[in-house]
Amino acid sequence: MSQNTQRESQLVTTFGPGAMIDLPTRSVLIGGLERWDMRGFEQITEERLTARLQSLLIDTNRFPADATLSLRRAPIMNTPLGTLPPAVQATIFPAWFVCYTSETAIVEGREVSRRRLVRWSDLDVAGAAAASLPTAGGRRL
Amino acid sequence: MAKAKQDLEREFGPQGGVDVALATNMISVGLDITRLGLMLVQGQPKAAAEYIQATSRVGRDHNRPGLVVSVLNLHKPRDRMHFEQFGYFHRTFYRSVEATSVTPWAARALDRALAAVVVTLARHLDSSLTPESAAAALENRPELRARVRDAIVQRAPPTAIAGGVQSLIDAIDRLFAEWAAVAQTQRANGVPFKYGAGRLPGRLLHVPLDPAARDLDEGHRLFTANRSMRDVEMNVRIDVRDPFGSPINNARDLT
Repeated sequence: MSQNTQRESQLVTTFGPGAMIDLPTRSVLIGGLERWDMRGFEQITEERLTARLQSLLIDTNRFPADATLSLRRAPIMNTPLGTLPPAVQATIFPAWFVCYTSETAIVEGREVSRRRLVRWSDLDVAGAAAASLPTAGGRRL
Repeated sequence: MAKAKQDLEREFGPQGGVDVALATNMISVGLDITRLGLMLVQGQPKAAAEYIQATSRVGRDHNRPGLVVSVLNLHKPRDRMHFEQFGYFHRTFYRSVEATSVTPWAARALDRALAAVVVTLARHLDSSLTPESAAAALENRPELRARVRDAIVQRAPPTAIAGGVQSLIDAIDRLFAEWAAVAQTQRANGVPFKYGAGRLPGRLLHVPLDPAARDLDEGHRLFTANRSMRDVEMNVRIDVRDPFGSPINNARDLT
């Protein structure tokens, strides 16, 4: 679990929603804000920034004029040990993979070696059966 | 090293020139040879800043062109992503440049590190303050305070300090005042006061990310001390889902 983490500032700057990141064993796309777990989120107090953003959003008709804006932190891991901290969902991408081992095939009478492309649905998604194989591009096949 | 650079600088001619310089990513921090015009980059460097730095080592002569050829590996996800967005990435790559480390003596660097330095120096300069349990022993010691202050100020280039030398001196004096105040409060509460052992608020120092530190007095909160340069920020857990957004069960690397 602890290996699949991202720093807070990275998650709001370079690797925000839609960004592709390399985790130690998988490559994923960070989910949109509706996929960020906001259980017990922390509020950020930045009065001047909040006022500026609010007036900017209201002036451009992107925020109701009578509502007040508040800022939140990303779902950081500050829950007590032993509990599952809130998380940001990320989907695996791409959904096709190149096999680690190559095989030989006869194409037009000639022997060629190839590495097959396989789809996600053709994989042991848990990676358990092939756990002893070396990883290919970070993924077990 | 100097000889290799000289050889590289020599123009092609009867005296012979060097055709190729093989280099690791260290090339991005210092090979400045105007003559070089063609570069082959093997694989996409991890950092965008590194890629920009490294590839700007050719074509430095404005009378001659420079050409950079990126050799990407089909089987590496990062290389592949760069290949698929090659044009777009190169039109906008300055925006991908990663944030860099903090300048010494900058305001935020002082926030982060000055307290730990002050406490460490005091413990080293006065052996009566050294033991773990001596954190409460800081009395009004103007002589020790001056020695710590001088040791730090001497190292700091005056023009580099955020707010100038006087603000650095003020910050150090404030740390001593707060340290003494915290020690006095703890003594009044009858709690043993340590430097780094035990629980807050019964200890002076704490790591920056300690959630318990948020409940401390403002003065006590100043005493952050990093255990590692990497512990600078809270982490966010990534919940890895399959390509359709469903949970992946029984995956050992995801539990």
